[in-house]
Amino acid sequence: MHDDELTQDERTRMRALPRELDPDDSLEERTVRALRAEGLLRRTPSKIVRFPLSPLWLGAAAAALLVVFGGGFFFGSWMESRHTTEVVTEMHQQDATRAAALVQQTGSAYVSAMAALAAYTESKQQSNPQATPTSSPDLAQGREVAVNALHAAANQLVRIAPEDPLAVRILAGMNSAKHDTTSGTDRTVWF
Amino acid sequence: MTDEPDDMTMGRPSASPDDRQLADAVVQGGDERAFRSLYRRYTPMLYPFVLRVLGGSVADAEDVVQETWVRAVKQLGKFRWESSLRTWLTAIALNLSREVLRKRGRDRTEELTPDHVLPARPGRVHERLDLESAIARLPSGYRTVLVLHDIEGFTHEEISQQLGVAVGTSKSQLFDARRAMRALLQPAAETGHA
Repeated sequence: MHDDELTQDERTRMRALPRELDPDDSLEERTVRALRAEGLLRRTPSKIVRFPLSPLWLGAAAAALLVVFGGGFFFGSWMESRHTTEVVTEMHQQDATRAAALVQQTGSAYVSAMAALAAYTESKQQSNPQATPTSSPDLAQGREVAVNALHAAANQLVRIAPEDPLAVRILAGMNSAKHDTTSGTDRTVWF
Repeated sequence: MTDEPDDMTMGRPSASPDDRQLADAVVQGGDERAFRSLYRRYTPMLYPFVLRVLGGSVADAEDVVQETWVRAVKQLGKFRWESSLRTWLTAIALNLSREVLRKRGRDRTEELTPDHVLPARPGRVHERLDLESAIARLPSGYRTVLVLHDIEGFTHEEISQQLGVAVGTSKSQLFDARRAMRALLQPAAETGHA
């Protein structure tokens, strides 16, 4: 018995059959495990990156370290200076607030003291219509202190707001009034 | 006939340039990466061959492919590189497939389920399915010779050496295999022409 030849059609159909086909992926792992179990394969070690210790590599590594260190240093300095600026700004803001509060407190005290002095002056005049505010040494001193304090305050007010017309006018008026005053000596006692 | 074939048997083209380097890495150092390279290079060819010889049994084919690699790695150090690695692996796979067929007494006409059929190529689905089914239904002796000769392209001399039979027996088996295949295909062809 001998083989007969394939027809052209049969040959074509045979050639059309796939010669390659991938099995399930798990087969590769199964096979590797079986080979490991037989001691025929060793588990692939994880890749270790080794850098060559050439002078070029060492130089590059040193340069990189310097860049990293310098960058860290400057960044830290910048962060610290930024923090300091914030603290100073906050402190100045706190000082201004405290100063304004102090002005309010002392201003109230000044006005209250002046009101008390005015009430005392009025009572003196009612009991003795001939008396003037300067006839009593105490009243004269109180008045002088009040005027000087007001003048000093007006000076500071002009410093705070040089363009403020009210402050400028108060100071100018007080200066001219002071020049006109004939009373010689200041008896102001500053505490 | 031994399980591991003589690498002188089939005069195929020589190995790819780095097959030997990969094989050396596997033999000398148990290099898993090198083995995976070899596996991925040759398994897509081994698998459909084994699947056809076994009549389409996926589970059996996977077992045979796995065992083929285990035996190949064990014997790789003795391989003389006088034939290609592909030919050598095919011979190992063929011997293992025949062992499976012998153990299971499959020397009979087998029925195929759709799961057993190899994937089709677009445009020739019915034709391909018919041909694959017909091959799978052949008695295993016929099927083995037909697959080796008409699909894998081995000569009768190579087949006779592989199967341990006379060249005349190989030719006779092929003749019977083709006749049986045509008989299996004929009803479908007639239906198609009707």
